[in-house]
Amino acid sequence: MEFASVKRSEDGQVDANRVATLLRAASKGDESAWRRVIDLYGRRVYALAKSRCGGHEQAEEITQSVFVTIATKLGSGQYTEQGRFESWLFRVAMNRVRDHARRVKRQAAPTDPDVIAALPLADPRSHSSPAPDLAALRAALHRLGDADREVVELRHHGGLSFKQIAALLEEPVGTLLARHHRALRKLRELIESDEAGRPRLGRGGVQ
Amino acid sequence: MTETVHPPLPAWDESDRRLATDLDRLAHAEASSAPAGMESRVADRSAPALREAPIPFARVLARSPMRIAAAAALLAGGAIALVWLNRQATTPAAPEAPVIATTDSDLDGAVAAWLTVAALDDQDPIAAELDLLYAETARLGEGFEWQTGPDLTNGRGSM
Repeated sequence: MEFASVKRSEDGQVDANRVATLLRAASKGDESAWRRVIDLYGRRVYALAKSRCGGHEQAEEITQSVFVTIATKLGSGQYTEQGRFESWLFRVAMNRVRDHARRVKRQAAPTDPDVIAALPLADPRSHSSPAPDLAALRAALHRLGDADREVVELRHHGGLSFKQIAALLEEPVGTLLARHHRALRKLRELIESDEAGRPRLGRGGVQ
Repeated sequence: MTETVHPPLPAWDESDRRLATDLDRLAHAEASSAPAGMESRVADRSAPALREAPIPFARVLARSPMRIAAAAALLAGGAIALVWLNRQATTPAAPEAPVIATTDSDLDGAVAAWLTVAALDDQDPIAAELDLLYAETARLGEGFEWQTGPDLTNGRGSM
C-alpha cells in the first residue's frame, strides 16, 4: 500500500510530500492514512509529553488528546497542508503539555530531582535499568526553566528543526539557537552540581 | 559596500555535542518507553473525529454552492421582511362603499340590498345614512336612478 512506503529519512525527517498525501487522504476520512500519520508522529508526541509529565498514562492521554484535536481539525477542513504540519502538531502538543504542567503545579507535584531521576526510562517489561547518565540528564532537564526546557524538548524529543521551532514559538531562529546552547550549558552545570552533591544527598536518605 | 552583521552563533564545543547526543538518546528512550499498542489506541480513539467533525458555519459558507444558496436565502428573507414591514407601516385604505346600480323596476330590491349591506356593517353612521337614502328614494318614486358612493354624503344636502 502506498501509505506504508512513507519512511523517515536518515536525518529523522519525514518526506513532506508523502505527509501531505497522507493528510489529504486522512482529511477525507481515510482511516489507514490516519493510522500512518499516527505511526509517524505518535511516539515523538508521546516522548515530548512523557518528558514533561513523567508518567506513561498521562503521556498517552496527552498524545490521544493531541491527535483527537488534529483529527477534528483535519476532518472539518480547518487545516490546509502547506508543509507546516509538524509545527502545527507540536504546537498543539506543547499547549497540551503546558496545560498539564499548570495543573500539576497547582496540585504541588513532587519535584525532587532524585525522585524524577528514579522514574523508569524504558518499558518496564523490558527489565532494562535506565542508563545512569540519562537519568541524571532527565533530572537536570526537569530543573531547567520552562522557556529553555521547551526548546530542548521540541528539538530533541519532538525532533523539530530550529526553523520549525522558530515558527512554532514565533521567535527568531538565532534567538532559539542561542537559547538552546545556553540550555545545554545550564544542563551540564546542573548535572555537575548534582554529581558533586550526591554524597550529601545520600546522607539525607534519597539514594 | 554595506556589510550585514549577524548575531554571533553559539560556539559549540565537544561537551555540547556530547550533551546534545545524550539528549537525543534520552528522547529516544522516552519514545521507546511508550506502552505497547499505544499508536493503535490513539488511532482508535481519534479516527472517529475525522468523520464526525462538525463543519463550522464559516466553512459551509466557503463552499461555492452553499455560498450561493445561503446568499439567495438571505436575499429572499430580506425581501420578505421588507414587504412585511412595508405592509405594517402603510395605513390601510378606507373600504370602498358598495356600488349598487338599480333600475327603475328594481328600486325596492336595491334599497333592500343596501339595508342588507348596512345590516352586515355595524357602523352606525352608514346605517343611518342608508336609512336616509331609503326615505329619499321612497319620496322620489319611480324614474330615479341612483348610485351610492363616497360622495353621496355631499350630495345629500342638495337633494
